Amino acid sequence: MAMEYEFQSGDGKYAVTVEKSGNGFRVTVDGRAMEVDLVAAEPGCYSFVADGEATDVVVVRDGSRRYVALEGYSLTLEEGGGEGQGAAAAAEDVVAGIQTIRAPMPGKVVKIAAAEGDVVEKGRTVVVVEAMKMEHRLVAAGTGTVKKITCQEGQNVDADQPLAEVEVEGG
Amino acid sequence: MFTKLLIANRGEIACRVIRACRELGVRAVAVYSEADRAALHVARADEAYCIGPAPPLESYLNIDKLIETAKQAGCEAVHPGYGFLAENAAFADACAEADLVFVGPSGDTLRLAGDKLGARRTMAAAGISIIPGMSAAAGDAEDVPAEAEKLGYPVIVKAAGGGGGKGMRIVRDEGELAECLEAARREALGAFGDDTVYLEKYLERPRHVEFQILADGHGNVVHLFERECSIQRRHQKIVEESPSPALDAKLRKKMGEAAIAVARAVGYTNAGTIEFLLDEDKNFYFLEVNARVQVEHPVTEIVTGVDIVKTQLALAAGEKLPFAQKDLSQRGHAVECRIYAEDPAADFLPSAGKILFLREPRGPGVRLDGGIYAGYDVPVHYDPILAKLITWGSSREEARRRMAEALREYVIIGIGTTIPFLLDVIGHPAYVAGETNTGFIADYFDGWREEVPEGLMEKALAAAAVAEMAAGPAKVHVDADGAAAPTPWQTVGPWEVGRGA
Repeated sequence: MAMEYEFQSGDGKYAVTVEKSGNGFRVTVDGRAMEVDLVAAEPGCYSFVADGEATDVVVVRDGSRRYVALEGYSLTLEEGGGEGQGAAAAAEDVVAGIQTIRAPMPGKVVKIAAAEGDVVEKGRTVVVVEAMKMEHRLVAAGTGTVKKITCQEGQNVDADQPLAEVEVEGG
Repeated sequence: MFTKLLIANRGEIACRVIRACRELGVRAVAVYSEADRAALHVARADEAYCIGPAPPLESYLNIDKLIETAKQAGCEAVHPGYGFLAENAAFADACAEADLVFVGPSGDTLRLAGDKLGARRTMAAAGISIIPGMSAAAGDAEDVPAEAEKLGYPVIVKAAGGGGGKGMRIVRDEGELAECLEAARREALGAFGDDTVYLEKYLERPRHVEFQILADGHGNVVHLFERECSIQRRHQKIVEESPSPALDAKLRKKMGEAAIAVARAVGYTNAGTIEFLLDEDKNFYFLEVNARVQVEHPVTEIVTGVDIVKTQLALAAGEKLPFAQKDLSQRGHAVECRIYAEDPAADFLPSAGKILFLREPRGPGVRLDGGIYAGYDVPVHYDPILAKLITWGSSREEARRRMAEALREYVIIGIGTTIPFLLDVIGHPAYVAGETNTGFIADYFDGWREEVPEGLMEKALAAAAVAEMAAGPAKVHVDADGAAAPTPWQTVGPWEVGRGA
């Protein structure tokens, strides 16, 4: 009986088919087949042999996310082929000409460098957040007008919390 | 030797000092903030006391609370580690007043060395070459742009009381000056409690070469040779090594002598580091004194065979240096990579969170100084250093290859780390050739992204899918009477976080 799985990593979507084959499995990734033998070692660690090539692999499940580490690389896969919502939102999102400036991580607002109504150039600092003892300058993604400031200096903020909105000029 | 010592620090360096205490039979007293109850140094210590809320100013920088804790616990000495209060003269003074031995130089020496401006004046007077720059603090007045103009751009704003890259900004033209000054002041105030800054000429692409020194209270000073720490991001070192590929025996001797002269000029005692910048013509300039144990001290320990932290405790206890300069030599080569919780593909943005899985490297010539464990939640409040990986080899190339293998073996899942970036750095042809300078990361790794080799994604997907399939039937199809013996696949399954082993 073949099982089908769908994973997403970055922009890539992958279909994987697995069926039992002898002592191992026949795995097809996007049409390419390989013979795979996987044996569990300590928790999370596997001995992995694919078409005779051996390596050790770490597979960790965290909700809908799979972390896979092998050969010095660490990859993050999301279950399913739909729109992944697991990845953290970008610090700056421009949607319909409005840039929402968000906290990149939990921290404290140490400076608001622009006021509502200010015209700012691309790259101009709008808010400065301090986290893990470093200052992060959050800048305008394009030349435009500061529409809203939704934080205060000294305020503790969570990751992805909206801090300001900038209306970015078109073109 | 002392019987009990308080470690006024956290993370990997607190764990390192605890090891030294254990070897010497000294009871190690840890302190921790409310955010650090689960930190490794608390579990490793002999005694542990909470000293306040998460913000450093209310805990690890709270001098009164630290002194009170040390006295109540019956400690005779305090080791400050690096960062926090390590180079704080007021803390050293407070220890002395409370009859506690501060493991480091005296308050007066710390004031002299820690005031980068004062140190510049002292070194100039002692005939040691310094980088062109201001000899007084940058005021609020309009004299700063004129000073910058005089030095010629680019200039660098530095915190007079700073170190570790905090409160530092490169200024390339006058337009950036005001904002950089303000940001450096704010960062300096937050990190060191002092917002004094000054300007220096910014040297493009020098090497950073520093000398480890040890000085006892009996007038003896030796150096433990150099460390090359040119690979930096955000003015913070990430790869260090000893010996430096840039020094020959003659230059090493000359710089070692200069380092000892610097130590004597400031009346240095205990372990410290004299930092120099070395230009392409092999001219060296005094940069600063780091009056503490350095993050990168293990590379020196490995090539010289001297345990720097244990020596710090011996010197603080009043012992004489057990060796002279002629007894010291460098054997082989050591490389250190700093493992930070940060995303190298996103401008090294710190990444806090839970470590879901941890596998640490082993093997010949591999040392790991860490402060983490699987399941540990890396807090957002502190420096994001997780661990230091150090390898030794009989040659630089052997140490480098061992490092590459150890980095490949090192798995930290759940938070972003510098591991993949470090692998690319030590594999870069310029690094292999020993051609390093402080512009290395900017020159070769701007906009770096992890590139996954051909075929690796397919293997990862196959492993994830097979592990998934193996997990499936075990949960759904086990017979109620248990007659069907479970196949090995029923016990495999992906390791789920929080489900335990």
